[in-house]
This record gives sequence, C-alpha cells and structure tokens, in this order.
Amino acid sequence: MKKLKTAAAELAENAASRLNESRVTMTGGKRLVIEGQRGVLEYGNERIAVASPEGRITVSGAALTLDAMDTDTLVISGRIAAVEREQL
Amino acid sequence: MNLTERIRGAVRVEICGAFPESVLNAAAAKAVKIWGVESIDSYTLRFMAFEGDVPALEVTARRAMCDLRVIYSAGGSRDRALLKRRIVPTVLGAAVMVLLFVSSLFIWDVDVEGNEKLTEGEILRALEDCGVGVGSYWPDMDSDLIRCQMLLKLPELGWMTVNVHGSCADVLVTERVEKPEIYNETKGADVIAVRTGIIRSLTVLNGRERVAVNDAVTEGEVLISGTVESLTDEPQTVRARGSVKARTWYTLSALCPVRTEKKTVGLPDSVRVGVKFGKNRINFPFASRKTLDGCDKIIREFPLGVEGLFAMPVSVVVEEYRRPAVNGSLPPDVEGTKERLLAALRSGIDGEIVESRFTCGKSGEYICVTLHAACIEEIGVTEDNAAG
Repeated sequence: MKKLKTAAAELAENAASRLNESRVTMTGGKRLVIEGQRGVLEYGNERIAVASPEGRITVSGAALTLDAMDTDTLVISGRIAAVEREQL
Repeated sequence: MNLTERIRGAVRVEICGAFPESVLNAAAAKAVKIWGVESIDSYTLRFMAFEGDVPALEVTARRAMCDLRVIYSAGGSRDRALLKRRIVPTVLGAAVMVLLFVSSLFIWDVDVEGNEKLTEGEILRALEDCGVGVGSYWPDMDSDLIRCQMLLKLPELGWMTVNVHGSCADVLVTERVEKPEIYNETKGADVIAVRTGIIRSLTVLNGRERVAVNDAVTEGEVLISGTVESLTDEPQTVRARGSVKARTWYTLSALCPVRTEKKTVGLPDSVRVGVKFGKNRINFPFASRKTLDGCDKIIREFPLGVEGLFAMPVSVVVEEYRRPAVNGSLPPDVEGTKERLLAALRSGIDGEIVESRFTCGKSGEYICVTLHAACIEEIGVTEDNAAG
C-alpha cells in the first residue's frame, strides 16, 4: 500500500513537472524527440527552433525534417549537429 | 504509402506566408496529424496530412495569414472515385476471386500414382465410393479414414494417401507385395527339364544329378533327383536344387500382309465443341443429329487451370470426326515382323539367343516369316516328387 502511494505521488510529481519542463531525447545523432514542446518558432532544412517551457531549443544540422508533430511532442530527423538551449 | 494513408487519403500541402511555422503549431494544437515537413524557403513549408484534415488546415492557414495549396493527393476519395468508375470490372474481379476461392475447396482433378497391377479406373471407382471424386469437398476429408476404407475395398493395396493441392488430388498408392512361396525343405522334390535340349552346364546345390554335360534331355526328364542314396543308410529324400543350362531350339512363325493400306489424315469432316462443368457436359450445337458412322472420333479435352497448381471444374472438349481415307499401300513390313519375332522369343526364355536365321515364304496375301533360333537357357525347374 505504501509502495502504491509512493508510485502515485511520483506520477503526480512527473505530471506537474511536465507542465513546466520539456524532455529532449536524441537517438544516434539522427533522430530527436522533444516532449513538452510549445510550438515551432523557426523551420528550415539546417535549423529548427522549438519553443519549450524553459526557453528556446534550437536544433542545427543538415537535411533536417519534421517527421511528426502533435500538441506535446515533435520528432525531428536528419543529420543533427547540435542542440542548443536558451533559457528564458 | 501505408494502408491507413491509402484508405484515408494523403495530401501534400504547401503553406506559404510570413510565418508558416504557425500553421504547424496550430495544426498540432488541433490534433491534426502532419508528417514529412519540408522547408522550401523561409516563407514556404510543405508537409503531408490526411485528406479529411484539409478543411481544418485551410481555416488554420487563413487565420495565420498564409496560403494553402494542395500539391497532390493520393488514395482516399481519389481511389474511391476510380473504383466507382470501374465498378463493373471491380465487381467481376471480386466475383472471380470468390469463385476461385470457393472452387479451390473442391476437387476437380484426381491423379493416381504408384499403381502397377491395379488399374487407375479400379482405384478411381473405389475412391468415389469412399467420397473422393470430382466435385468432392476436400476440407471434410479424413485421409486416415479414406485409407482404411480403400484398404478394405482393394485388398491388393498395401498403403495409400491422398494429397490435395489447389483442387488437384494426388493419390499415391503402394501395392501389396505378394508373400513368397515357402518351400518345405523336408518334402522331396526333383529338378526336371521344361524343354528338350542338350545340356551345356550343370550345377547341383542339393540332390543327385541324373544327367551329365552334353547329354540330350527331353521335356519332363529328371535332371537332379531329390532322392539321394546312402551307402550306410536308407535313401534320403531332399529338395533338389541346382542350375541346368541347355542348348535349345525354337521355330516361331508370323504372317505379314503383302499389301498394307495407308491411312491418310485429312481435315475433319465434323467438329463438335462442348463445355464440361464438373461431370456434366454441354455440347454445341445443342441438337446435333448428324450421323457420323465409320468415322474416327478424336476427343481432346482442355481443362482450365494450371497443371500441378490448381484445377477448375470447367474444361473445353473438342470432338473431331475424321473419315478414314485409304491412299496407296505400304510395302510388306518383313523387317518389323522379324524384330517382333525376336522380341517375342527373348521375352519367353530364361537365357540368351546364340544363333538365329529367318526364312520367308509367300502364302496367298501373306508372307510367312519364320525364325529358327538356338538358345542357351535355364531348363531346370523344381517340382515335388512322388516320394516326398
């Protein structure tokens, strides 16, 4: 019962933190997933800028494409050279 | 393009405006799925979306003060329209597919393999009694049950199985091997001559020889006796065994006609076409009453399907009626008759022909070809004797 309470508390904490935080996951320098995005600010083949709760995330590289996008998550693929984060 | 995109319809959309990224954000906010985003320049973006989401995207683009243009579309309403225009071929194609599927559940061709003594007809008739024939529904068949029934019906069968593939039933049979004759070794038997000849070699395995090499023997004469005398005891009765090869002579005759009529194959006098559905046949013309007595009837059947792959219950039957015409005559086939005589002799002896010559004589409308041959062959056979 105690374990269940702890797990529920963790979930609630994660959900709350997700409202104010983003998560960036990069796989092999070719695929980048940004969870908790707040919209695309700039879109180009060599540079994609995404708004996040903490500030602007800029992905630079070559042949970048936005594979998929929904209200919370977007997926970028291509030859990713750098991911920069600018604090608000 | 995957199946979902094909069914729902996918469109390539171009957004042109001061800040086209805002359309992406608005689409994401409205849960409009977009993928394959491509940047053409600072003011133009292209991406894929479902056909049904285009009205929502148009509203979004208008609000973002961007222009939306559909570059191309695939699947969805386009495919449905295409299907609607070709409704007849589509329905026909679907009907053919359904018919093929239903047809593949029935047997339309039965092949029998492995039979030597039993005829194909006997096996097919027995199979039909067991429920395996043209038009049988094969998923209901029980191979073990059919085997048991067939083995009861045809005692000559040793084993059988039915393999069905694509409406063709392959019936594999193995015939029963006859039990060899078992001799009673204690029962007396002699080796006797089955032909008259002069003995060339003699090998005795059991018993006492009654003849020697170069002896002339007549048919029925004892060659190796099963009664073996003993100096100290009473005569013993054994089963005589051995090999006795002798020179034998044969005279075979055959008649061959002096004139052989030559039959010519011309154009058919009449051709009748029919269509066979399963076991029923429809002939064209329907009410043909033409009498074609004295004609050769040649039937050719062309089953629909791919041999060894699948069979269909439909086949086209072509019947040709040809009136035989005699056109000239052929020379007497003396050489062929000689060959046939030699072949007949070879098949009738247990040995080889060492000498042969032919004589020919005309007798009326025939030529009498006679073969005179000398052979070396096995003439001894074991036969139970009275003493045994």
